[in-house]
Amino acid sequence: MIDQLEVDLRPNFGPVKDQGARPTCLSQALSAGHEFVRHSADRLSVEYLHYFSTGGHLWRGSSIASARTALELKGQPEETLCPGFTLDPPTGWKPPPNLHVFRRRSITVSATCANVERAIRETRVPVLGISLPRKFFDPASPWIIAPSDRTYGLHAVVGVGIGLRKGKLTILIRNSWGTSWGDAGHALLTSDFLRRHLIDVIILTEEPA
Amino acid sequence: MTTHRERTLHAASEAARIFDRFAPQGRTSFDIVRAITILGFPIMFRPTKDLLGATVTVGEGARGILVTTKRGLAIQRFTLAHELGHLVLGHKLRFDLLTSDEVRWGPGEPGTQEERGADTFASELLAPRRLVSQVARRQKWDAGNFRDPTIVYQLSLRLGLSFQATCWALARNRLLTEESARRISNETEVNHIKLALASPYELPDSWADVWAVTEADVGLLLECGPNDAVVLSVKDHASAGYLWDVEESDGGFEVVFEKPDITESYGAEASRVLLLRSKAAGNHRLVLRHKRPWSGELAASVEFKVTNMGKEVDGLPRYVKRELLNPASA
Repeated sequence: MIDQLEVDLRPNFGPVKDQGARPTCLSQALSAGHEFVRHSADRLSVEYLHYFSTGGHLWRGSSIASARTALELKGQPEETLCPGFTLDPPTGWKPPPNLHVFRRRSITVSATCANVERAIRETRVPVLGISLPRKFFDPASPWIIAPSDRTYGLHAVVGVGIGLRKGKLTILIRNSWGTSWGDAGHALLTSDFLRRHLIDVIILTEEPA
Repeated sequence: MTTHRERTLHAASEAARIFDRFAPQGRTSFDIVRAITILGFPIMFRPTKDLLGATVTVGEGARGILVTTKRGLAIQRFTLAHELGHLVLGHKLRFDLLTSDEVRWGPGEPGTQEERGADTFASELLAPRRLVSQVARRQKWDAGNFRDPTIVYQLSLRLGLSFQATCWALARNRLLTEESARRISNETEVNHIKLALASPYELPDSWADVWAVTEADVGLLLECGPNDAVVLSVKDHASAGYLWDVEESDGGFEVVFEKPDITESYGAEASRVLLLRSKAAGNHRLVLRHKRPWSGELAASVEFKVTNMGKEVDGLPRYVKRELLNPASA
């Protein structure tokens, strides 16, 4: 169990999700962040956001820009109104129309460890775009993931805590690969990891007028 | 007296008859050793100094085939088919001396009528149009692709032929013009193709081949050399936690190099090229699993069958030794 953290926002989140084999990591992370800033127990529809982030190409990944635009302009309804898939949806699937949605603006900041730390301390949970080293796929207790030169694709997670390990800053992240990954779906990234693998940082802000 | 055209047609028709009887099952190359053995002609491999192959008397009225061990498997296979041609076409006892393999199989090359007939037979047996088309269909190659020497090289590996023999087989099957076949055969440095495919991994010897294996090869037997490398392109659902991994097995394959190709969108599949080599010669299952490493949760798996014994060595063929030791495997 990861403990002895200086900041730990895990209690403010719902259960960790498992995206299955779907390419929805960015929508998963944005949805978790969106649920957090809404201070609501309602889960939001990942599939709805992913649909509009990818222009309806549900088997594709999405860019930071398209996902932010989709969240601001299209928003996302409660998950009960538009449930997700663990495998690719049927061909031609579209979200149900005329749903009540929640929209949210966001900003991007420079991808630095200091910006991630500041956002978490201000309880504005950052969505982190990272490249994936091999160790990320099989973390072991005490759940601290080291950087590596070799990487395997891009992924998005949420920064949800801060701690010190051997006198060095670590960021607690929440993943979307289910609770069997890491410590119940969480792990720690060192500042060395972030220097090597952090690519984008998104911070959710206010609701559009 | 028969004409050249009649002799060619006769050789092709005899090759087609034997191909039909022993059509490849679960493999991409014609199993020439098995066919000759079942036809009742003994085969012996010897480290002959100047002899590529020969038809020989092995007893009263019986004939067999002798083939050198001093050439690679592709040359051994063509020589076996060539000598079988002499036997099937009713030629006199033959001794085929070591010559330049590069020019031997070109159309219009000098040679006796019987030599040309045996070459036609061998080419029609090992690379008939239907076998070439079958491999091409699986790999999604069209006739235009055969102008690419890298594709010709990959075809040659699957047919178990030399690069040059494959060029001429494509010309004979009208999948390349004679001019293109001659140009590709003469101007291609096969070693450059190998180096480009394997880079930056250094092949252990210049005889080693590099197989660019695809999904089209799943379930088929790949006949490799002991030092051959296998190049595989995989697409990881990395952002969902899934990676392709090679199943560990004693004496099996190991990844010696990988080239990642990072995508720019979050969630998209990430391409990766794996370069593998075998730890020992033998019959192997090359199994790849697309799974979540921390839990073992499986999304997909593929299996390739590989025998990487390479060329035949001194004595009886491996197929015959196997049959003698384990007749039930026939």
